[in-house]
Amino acid sequence: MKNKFKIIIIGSGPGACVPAYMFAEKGLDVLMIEKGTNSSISDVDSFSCNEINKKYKNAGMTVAYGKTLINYAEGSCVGGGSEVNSGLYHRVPDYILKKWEQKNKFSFDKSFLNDSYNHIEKLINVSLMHKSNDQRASLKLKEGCDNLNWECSEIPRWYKYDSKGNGVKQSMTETLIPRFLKNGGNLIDECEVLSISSRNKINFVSVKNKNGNIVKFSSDFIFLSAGAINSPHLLLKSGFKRKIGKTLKMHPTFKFISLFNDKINSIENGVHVHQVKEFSPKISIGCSISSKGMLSVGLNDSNNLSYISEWEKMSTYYSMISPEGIGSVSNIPFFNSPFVKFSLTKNDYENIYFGMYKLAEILFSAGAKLLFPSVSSNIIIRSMDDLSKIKALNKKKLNLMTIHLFSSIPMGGLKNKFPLSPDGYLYDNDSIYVSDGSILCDSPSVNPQGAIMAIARMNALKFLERIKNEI
Amino acid sequence: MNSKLVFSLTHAVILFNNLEIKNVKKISIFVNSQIIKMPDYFLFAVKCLAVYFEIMIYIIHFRRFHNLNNSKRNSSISFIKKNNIPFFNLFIRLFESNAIIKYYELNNEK
Repeated sequence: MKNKFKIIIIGSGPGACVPAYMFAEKGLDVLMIEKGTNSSISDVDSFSCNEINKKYKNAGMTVAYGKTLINYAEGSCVGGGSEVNSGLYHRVPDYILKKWEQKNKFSFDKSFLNDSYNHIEKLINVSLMHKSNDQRASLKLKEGCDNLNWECSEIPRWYKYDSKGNGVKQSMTETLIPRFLKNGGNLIDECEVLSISSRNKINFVSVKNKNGNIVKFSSDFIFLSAGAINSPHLLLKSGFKRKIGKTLKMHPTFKFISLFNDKINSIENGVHVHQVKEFSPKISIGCSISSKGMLSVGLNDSNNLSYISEWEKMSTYYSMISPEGIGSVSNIPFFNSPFVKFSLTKNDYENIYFGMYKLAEILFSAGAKLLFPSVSSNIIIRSMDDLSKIKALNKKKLNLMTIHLFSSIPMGGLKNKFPLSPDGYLYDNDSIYVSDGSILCDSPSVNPQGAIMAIARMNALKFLERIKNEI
Repeated sequence: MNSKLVFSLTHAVILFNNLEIKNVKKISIFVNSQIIKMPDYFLFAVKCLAVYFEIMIYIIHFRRFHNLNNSKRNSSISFIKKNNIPFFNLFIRLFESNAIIKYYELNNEK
């Protein structure tokens, strides 16, 4: 393979694939480098142990340190997070966009953004779930909310169904990566980028390939799309330190396993599509993957594994907050992995407890018999009064997790306050672009993939305009 | 990490949770592959804990963990969990979570 390209894209998730296929279709010479393996969506069962081991970064064994540990999960395979997530799609609400604009001192071109959303929604076929899919667990949320007169709605997903209701998630390996490759794009997998550097307006990318050899590639431009943890980590390792990795945001999530009187779960049960937006943007409530394996781990945390025999009457529900707290990504001397910290504020804990109460209220209203909280303590919730036991626990005993990470290299209008311009390039080196969740200004309060893809398209179009004389 | 320790600890946490002893080899391979993929500083800490764990067990029983009988393995895990021994409780939990999720997946195949 040759070593010089017009553009090198590091990562292959949604934020990478949008510019990648657009550049390839324009005839630009593009190399995409992915650390994980290349396998199609059907190679391993969704949400299985095999998938966790093969397609998650560090096999899902990643933690943000702080007063309460927060387990986080990110995809690490060709297609990135789109291969392993639930595929729920949202646009960022207008009032959140306004907050972003005020906080980060720039304005979005709303019609351009809407045009990008429309384009992305067609590309990945955003649609409602086929009626034949089993939604008993998810509908319990709807039932509880209807009883309480709270807003609960079905969230669309990037999915394509046949007439019988069999669907395939429109992940990047199903959609944009084939388009990228068909138009002459180059993809190498199982290659870890060690560092990036610039000399005389040429960027160099040092890569360890699958045989353990170090290879150097060069390019005019780099698009960094390695995710909200690895993108800042790579920049820090490469000597770009100004405002990088210091403003990490995430959606810390608390869970209950709920036991009902009737069967709501089965081996075929997959993703649940109802979400409660009554308390948005502070709190978002939904239903999680509830395979027997996932339930067993949750029950074991609270020493209640004996209840697993009733797993068909159980499902996992979550309450997710948009925190005030901030985290960081840093290097530890002598180690290669990024070190992630996240500090929840007093208000964040209040919101976690508030969300926990509201979630319990919905579940009891829908007929839940028992709730097993995600805490490292032997607690079973039989009524709303029992929730005080969770509040009384040491905060270290809360088992929080997240799959939404962002804002570690945020876009902003002021060069001295933010690392990245609103067009997506680093203020310190305008030939290096960032295109993933890192660039979001703050919590979108919803699943971030839609926003990441829409902003990636806007910035890719602005980039094409910038280099139009070179095409 | 020592494969004998991984296998014997996986076997022990399955027994401790009153689960059927089957597929232990497959489960311990999964547990090991999870551990080796952890972030490097985390893996370093786990390897150190494994060494301390082996030393502690040897001081108490004059045998290594994989040479203990089931009842002694069980009582060691029970002691750590009930007394919430710092760090070792997390070490056991690491094995327990990974072993249990794989156990139930294997016992729930279509």
